[in-house]
Amino acid sequence: MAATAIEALVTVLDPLRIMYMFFGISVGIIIGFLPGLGGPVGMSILLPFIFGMDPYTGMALLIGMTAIVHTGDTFPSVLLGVPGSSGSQATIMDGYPLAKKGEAARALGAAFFSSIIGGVIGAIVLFLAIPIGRPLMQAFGSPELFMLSILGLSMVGTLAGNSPVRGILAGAIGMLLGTIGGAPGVAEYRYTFDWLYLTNGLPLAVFALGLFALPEMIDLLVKKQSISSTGKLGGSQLQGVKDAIKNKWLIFRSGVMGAVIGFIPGLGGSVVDWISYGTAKQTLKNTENFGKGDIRGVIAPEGANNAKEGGALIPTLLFGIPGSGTTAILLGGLILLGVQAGPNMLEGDLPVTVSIVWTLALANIFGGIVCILLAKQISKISMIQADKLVPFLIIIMMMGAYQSTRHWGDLIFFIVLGLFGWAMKHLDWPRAPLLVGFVLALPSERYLHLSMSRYGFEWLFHPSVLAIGAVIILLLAAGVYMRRISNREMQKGEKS
Amino acid sequence: MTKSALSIAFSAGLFLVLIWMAWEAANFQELASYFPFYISLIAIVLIVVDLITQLRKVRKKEVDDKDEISKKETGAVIKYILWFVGYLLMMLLIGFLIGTSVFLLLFLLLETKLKLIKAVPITALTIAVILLLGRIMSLEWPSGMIGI
Repeated sequence: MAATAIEALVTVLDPLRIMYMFFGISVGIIIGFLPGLGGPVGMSILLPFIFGMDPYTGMALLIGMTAIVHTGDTFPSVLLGVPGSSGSQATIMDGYPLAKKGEAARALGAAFFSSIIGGVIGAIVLFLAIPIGRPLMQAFGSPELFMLSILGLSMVGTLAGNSPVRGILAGAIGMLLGTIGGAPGVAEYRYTFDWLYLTNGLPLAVFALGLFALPEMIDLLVKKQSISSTGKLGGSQLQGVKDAIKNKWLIFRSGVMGAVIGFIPGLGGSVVDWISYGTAKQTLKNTENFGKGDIRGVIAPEGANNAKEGGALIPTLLFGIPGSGTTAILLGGLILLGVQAGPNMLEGDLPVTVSIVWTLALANIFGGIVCILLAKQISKISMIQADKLVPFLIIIMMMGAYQSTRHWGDLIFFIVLGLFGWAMKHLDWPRAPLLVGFVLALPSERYLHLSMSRYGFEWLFHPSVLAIGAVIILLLAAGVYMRRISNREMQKGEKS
Repeated sequence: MTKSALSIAFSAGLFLVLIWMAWEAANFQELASYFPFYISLIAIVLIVVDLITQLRKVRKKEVDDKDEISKKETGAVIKYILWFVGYLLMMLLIGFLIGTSVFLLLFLLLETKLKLIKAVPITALTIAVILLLGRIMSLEWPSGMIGI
């Protein structure tokens, strides 16, 4: 394991991979500071460009972006009081009041430093999960892998939106869309209308770009807002960093909490954020200034939301269960790079897994440092109105979508799925379960087919299958409970 | 139009699509059929539950007081969708490079309200970057009916 870790570090430190990591970091910062975009949009923009890359380089790009979205999203939260992504909602509570008092730089400094430490904690938790996950995965067969797919889908479907019925329904629709094309194990083309383009199914990059990115572009244009009205940063970033170091145990605790909660599929950034904020408020001394500009109200959520990514990668990489739109696209990205998530990530592809850990840690460190050093310049960019940035993003998206199969169908489906995604967003349908269902459709069908062929219906009574069923119920109950706590903290925050 | 009416229409549309998908799945070969067929059935049950829930809310007048959709916002949404569809059609007719140049220039002039003296060099620089990226990353783009 140690030898693999050192070998993976050497691989990650290759200059070309570092360059791609920094490119991913840049995209992550931009996506983070444009309100409402989030990880899935960044992932879907980068996904088409990883075709032809080796797994290490592709992961450097994708993980570099994912790691830093929750660092970049602090800019609009602090400067404008608008969350950059779902994982920075609680940061507004004390970050925005600090900015109004002329201490925006202090808030940003504390947030970035906490994000660095939190992100590294998430990477460490992911690394520690590898030796624990290995014996488990070696014992799993196709019935257990099928049940894990159901676990992922049921968690995301139930917890991702406000309506569990719509969440599970979205997951089912995603699975149906995932069956378009050739059926596994039998010569049948499903739902293709005899159109050659659809015989290989809908490309993931087009699906993700259309579903997540295009609706956000439309909304950014309609709202016509900029990130910040002044671009000026009052106060001192160094003071913010000192505040974070003074509260090191708060960062550590929030980071561990973030990684643990991130492990549960479907909970998402906003839950992590609010739970860590609420816990800090309830457990720290002298919290009467929480909500009015207490720096600890910035440190706690920012430490947790970066750590969450490390936790979320555990079920994604080790069990093939994506817990969110971002990790679903990452899973698809791994497939495009020729890597299958699941047991193989701990065997033949263990170097790729460990390289992801290193990339996560390094991207958080480098990205946090970039944000600290360039905070003033990035804040000036945040004055640009969204309608000046969106046409360029649309061009990149069109270029990216077309690279999937280099067929006109890529562009047509990008627009069609974009309109469908926009309607889903505005009619309160969760989109993450749709994407998770889409990604899990064919693997689930294969595992089910193998299970039925080998065991008939007997596999339903295997002890490990029953145990995973019990875990599904337990995690659902825990997830619902944590969602309630998060909603309670959010309502308290809104009232104050 | 209210959001709840649109939502019911959306769910009703999904219901019809799911019925069709289940019907199609029943006609596939057996091994290819059971997965999409049973998933469709589960989805149909859930969409019926969703429709009933929505109709009950409307009947009991439990809808949000922000239910009415703003005409101004609807107009803006349709406008930007037409911009993107227009961009796609331009690519189809005159190819990606010329289509992108025309789309970007028009958007910067008409929507972003940039002056011509800024919009033209920005468009030219963007096309130059696209060409460079295309070379480095071996990207391809669609040619239109005129073959460019």
